[in-house]
Amino acid sequence: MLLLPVSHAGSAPPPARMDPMAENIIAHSFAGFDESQLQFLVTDCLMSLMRCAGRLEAELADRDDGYRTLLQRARGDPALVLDIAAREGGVTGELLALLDLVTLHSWHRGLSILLADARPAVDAHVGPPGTAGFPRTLPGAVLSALLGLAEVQEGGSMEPAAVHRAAAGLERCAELLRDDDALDDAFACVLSAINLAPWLRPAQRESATGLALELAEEGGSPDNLCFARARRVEFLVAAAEEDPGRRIEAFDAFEAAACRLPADADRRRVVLRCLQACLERAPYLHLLLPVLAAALPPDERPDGLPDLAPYQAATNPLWEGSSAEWLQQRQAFGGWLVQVENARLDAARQARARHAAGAVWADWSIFHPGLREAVPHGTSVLRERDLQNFLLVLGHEVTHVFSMVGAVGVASLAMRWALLELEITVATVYREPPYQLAPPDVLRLKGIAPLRVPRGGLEWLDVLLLAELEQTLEVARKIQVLEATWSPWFEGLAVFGEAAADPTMNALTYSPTTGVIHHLVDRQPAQLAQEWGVEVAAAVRRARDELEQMYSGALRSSGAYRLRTYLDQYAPKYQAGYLAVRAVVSAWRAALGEPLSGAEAFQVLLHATRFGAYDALPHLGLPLEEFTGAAVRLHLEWVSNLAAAAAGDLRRLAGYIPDPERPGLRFGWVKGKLMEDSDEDAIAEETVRLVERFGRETLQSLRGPLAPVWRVADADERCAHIMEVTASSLLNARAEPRMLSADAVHSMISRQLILPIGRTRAPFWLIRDGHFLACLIRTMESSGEAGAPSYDLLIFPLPEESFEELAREVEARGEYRMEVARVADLADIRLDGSGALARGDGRNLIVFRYGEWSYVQVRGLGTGAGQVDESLLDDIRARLAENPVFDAHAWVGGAQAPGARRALEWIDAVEDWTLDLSGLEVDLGPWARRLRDVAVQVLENDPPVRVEDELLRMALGDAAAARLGQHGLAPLAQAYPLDVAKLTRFLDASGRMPVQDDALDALAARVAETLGPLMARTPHGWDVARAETLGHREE
Amino acid sequence: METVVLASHDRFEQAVAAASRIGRGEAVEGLAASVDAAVLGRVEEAWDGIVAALREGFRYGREKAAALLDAAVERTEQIIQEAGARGREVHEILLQRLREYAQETMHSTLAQVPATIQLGGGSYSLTTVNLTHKLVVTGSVKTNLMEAFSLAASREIEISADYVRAAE
Repeated sequence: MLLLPVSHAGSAPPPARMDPMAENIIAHSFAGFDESQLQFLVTDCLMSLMRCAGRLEAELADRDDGYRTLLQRARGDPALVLDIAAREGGVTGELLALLDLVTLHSWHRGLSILLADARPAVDAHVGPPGTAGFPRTLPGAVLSALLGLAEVQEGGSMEPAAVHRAAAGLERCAELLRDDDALDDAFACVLSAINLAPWLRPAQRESATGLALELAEEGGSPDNLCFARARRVEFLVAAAEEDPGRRIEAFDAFEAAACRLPADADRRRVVLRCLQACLERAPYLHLLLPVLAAALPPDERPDGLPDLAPYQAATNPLWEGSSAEWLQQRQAFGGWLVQVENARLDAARQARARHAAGAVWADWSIFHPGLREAVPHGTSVLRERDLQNFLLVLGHEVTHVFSMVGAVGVASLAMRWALLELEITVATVYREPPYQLAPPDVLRLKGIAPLRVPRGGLEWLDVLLLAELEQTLEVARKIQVLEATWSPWFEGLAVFGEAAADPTMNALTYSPTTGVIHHLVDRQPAQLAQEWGVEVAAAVRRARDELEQMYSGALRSSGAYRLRTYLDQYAPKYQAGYLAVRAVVSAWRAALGEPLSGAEAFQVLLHATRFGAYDALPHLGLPLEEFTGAAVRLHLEWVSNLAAAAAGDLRRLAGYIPDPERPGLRFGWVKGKLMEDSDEDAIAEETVRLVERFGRETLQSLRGPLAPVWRVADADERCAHIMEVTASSLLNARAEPRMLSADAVHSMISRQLILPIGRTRAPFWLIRDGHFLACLIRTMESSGEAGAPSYDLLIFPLPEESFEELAREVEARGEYRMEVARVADLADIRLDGSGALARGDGRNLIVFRYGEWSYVQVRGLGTGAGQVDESLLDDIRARLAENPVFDAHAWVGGAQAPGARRALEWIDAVEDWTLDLSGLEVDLGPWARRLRDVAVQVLENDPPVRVEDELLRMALGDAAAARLGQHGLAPLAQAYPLDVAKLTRFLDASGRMPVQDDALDALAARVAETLGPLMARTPHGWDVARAETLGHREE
Repeated sequence: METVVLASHDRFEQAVAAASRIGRGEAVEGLAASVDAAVLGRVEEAWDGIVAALREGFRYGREKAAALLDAAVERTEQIIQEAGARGREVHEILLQRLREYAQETMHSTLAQVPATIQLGGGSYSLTTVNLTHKLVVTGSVKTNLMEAFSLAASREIEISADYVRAAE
């Protein structure tokens, strides 16, 4: 099957023509690894390290002579040098630089032996990899690498710890050289580190190959990029053997490497050998063999290959022939390319859980297992294998995101920004030297740096670090508290929306969630109008109605089953929130004296959640314990106030149609009362002010009076005093959040209002004849009865300027896939001067991106609309572009909690928590233990609050809450198994409208007997019962 | 030796509980929803009817539970059909549950056969056990349901056990 000839396959490494720039890539064969190969590797590493010599000499400065004397006194023995220096004035960077230079120049005259014996002395000053003491300066990094190499050479074997040290030192050198803009030298060092890969741990191989790729991309040498890509593929193929979830990375990396081989024949041969070895190990890459073959010069291709012209056409995005010729080639490669796409999808499917969709607090995004590598297009949604569930699940997750686009989500976002700001302060001030700024992209790329571990007793700086670390931990935990407090309500609302918000029951308006659903199918209104013989507006209305009918059908046929699962198998997650929502709706129906429909109720609930929860947020700077109590109390009060909303307010909002005379009019809620907000612009300004306030409040955490000493129960008087002093000193820190300026907030919120629905990387072609862009996109992961993926070939003309810009990008990058994404605009509806929709309505757009180039098409019910609002274009680009600041924001405040992990490591590394204040000893151990506890809580993200029981009690009363909270539906299932389905059908139907059915009397009695009073007969039919106290305002 | 092992209520409920654990939804973290919620809900609703029929059969025997059995079969087939493209998954989970029920019942039955018996002053060790009840394994939910029902409603399983005298 593997057809490509490789001249050196399986043989010893190529002769040592040591051009360390790009030639030092070595294919290993474990079998028969011998002394000469070991020497080859060591020599290669030494030559890369020699590239640091100039900088090391510059380090020596004026103290050269003194150190040379020292060197003579120690007779060149590194251990002795370090000992004497430590005794007589300290080991400095200059001394290490001299030691490095001497060792490099005298390696073969015995210094490697001496160095190998000096490990304890070196360890005392240059910590081993993975420890806080691992060097962050070039002299230390070189010495660490040299020590590792010396141990390898003197030991005569690739002893893992020694190799690890050598590779880590080389990689650190590469990072430092990169910071100094010496990209070629950095690349040489990291390639040498990668040559040691077979003996390294996977994490180290990953970081080294990743760094090499970044350096190659920054350096701009095509051949270096080929090398780096090949090395990355090697690593990823091995990693995917351990973790199949990484197959998609290996697949994409192989494809990118195989598309473009080095121009130089020798280099090409080495890269080819790497890629062929990968092909042998990974059968899922075999379909890409023609890509590799087509990239070879014709005279290097093996005999007997099929005609490669179609494969070349498939993988070269630039087509200079006629469009007719391209279509002919497309016929030839079409079948193979679909196979490749299916193989890539299979690889991607290994990477993710396929049973759940979700929404992400950190960036207001959603994920759906059927949409991670697919972009709905045209009418493809209608071909979805499980369309009903697809629509309901998508509606559920979109509801979550809309819920976040409000008070709670904005607060959570602002807290994350404040957390990032605090983390940057910690990483900047307290990291291992050199002290340098740690902007967000550094946090993202290099991780959060280890902190300086005090040796001996604590210093005042360590105490300040303790205080600032506690700030970061408190904020991280408070974010978890806020989200955990509101999650049951969010889930309850989303489940209610799924089961009860039948859009066909509200003829006049629709919810924002429904707006997104309306636009899932691409239809041109003008064309529809012509086809149906109606006005365009009527055609749009009819098209919306069709989608609503479809959603309604899904909800009515699957809603009850889904509800059953939520309330039975996932009761702890959904039950309390759903029943609280139902109790509120029951209270509203009673207040109105009329049966409010589920669709209307859902609109009001979602509106109140978004625009009525600002008064339900505690001061974000409160100490953790107080914050937790206040967050829960205010949330419960908010639900209670909402249940007691006045009938007039509910009537006004439930069927509200925007007043053309007052287009900017918006509504908000204060303590459960509907308020008119002045206008759109004023609201936008108010939002910015709120975000700034949230950021400011968060930064006040544990400063001055917000740092009560009682939080550390076992702190003695001295410890408490120190805590007070540090809390006061934190008051001097900047009060205003740096990262939340008005402009930053505006762009951050605007960006978040673009919701990516589906994304994929699709093959594409630029056909110069007619300036066409052709793109093969996967529209669904499983369509039709067979559940096979479905593909559409899009072909459309680009404006000439846009075409040429893309062509230039293709020339530079050479990749044959572009990112294609379908997004929805979640902004408030805004019309342009002509009355056409400019923003919002959940309108869908398809975005094509390649490097810096992008192109946007309006889809959904706006398909065919030419112009896209400039602000919308900006927001889409901002949302989809890689942005290290936003990445860092999501990462620092995300589930990995890197700051908490780092804090925990630091706390555990400090051996003695005694602070010596001029003879007065203070034990800060209790305070440190408090930090440790919070760090563990953040890392484990164990539920910080259990708001569910309180919510149930408030909504349903004590009797039902106690049994439901403890046992769920189990008592009913045990006593009357067939009634569980009846109950969930009742809950499902009554969510849309109270149920008129006398036969429910008996069910209500059995439910009351086993679960408590959950059903109530109302003047309009059977509905969910609510606690007597709910729905009455306490003035 | 041939003997009859009677099923206890506890063992019956244990078998039902073990079967009910098959095909439950996987855990979901964060603000997430199972994309299989409808499939799982359909399974549970069909299973409700099946368990009701099995319980009735266990308590009151085959004849008195016949109507519930017929209703369970009819409802299950209806639910599978309504599930459309995902009906196969519903079908598969129900099959697994019925097989688990049957296996659990057999295991608990076998566990009641003593490994050694004392007879006439001698000790005898169990060598082989034969179940006279035939376990039918097919791809049909209806057949498997009938089988499970038969196990529940008979409340007893005939067993033939061979013992040999243990060496002194």
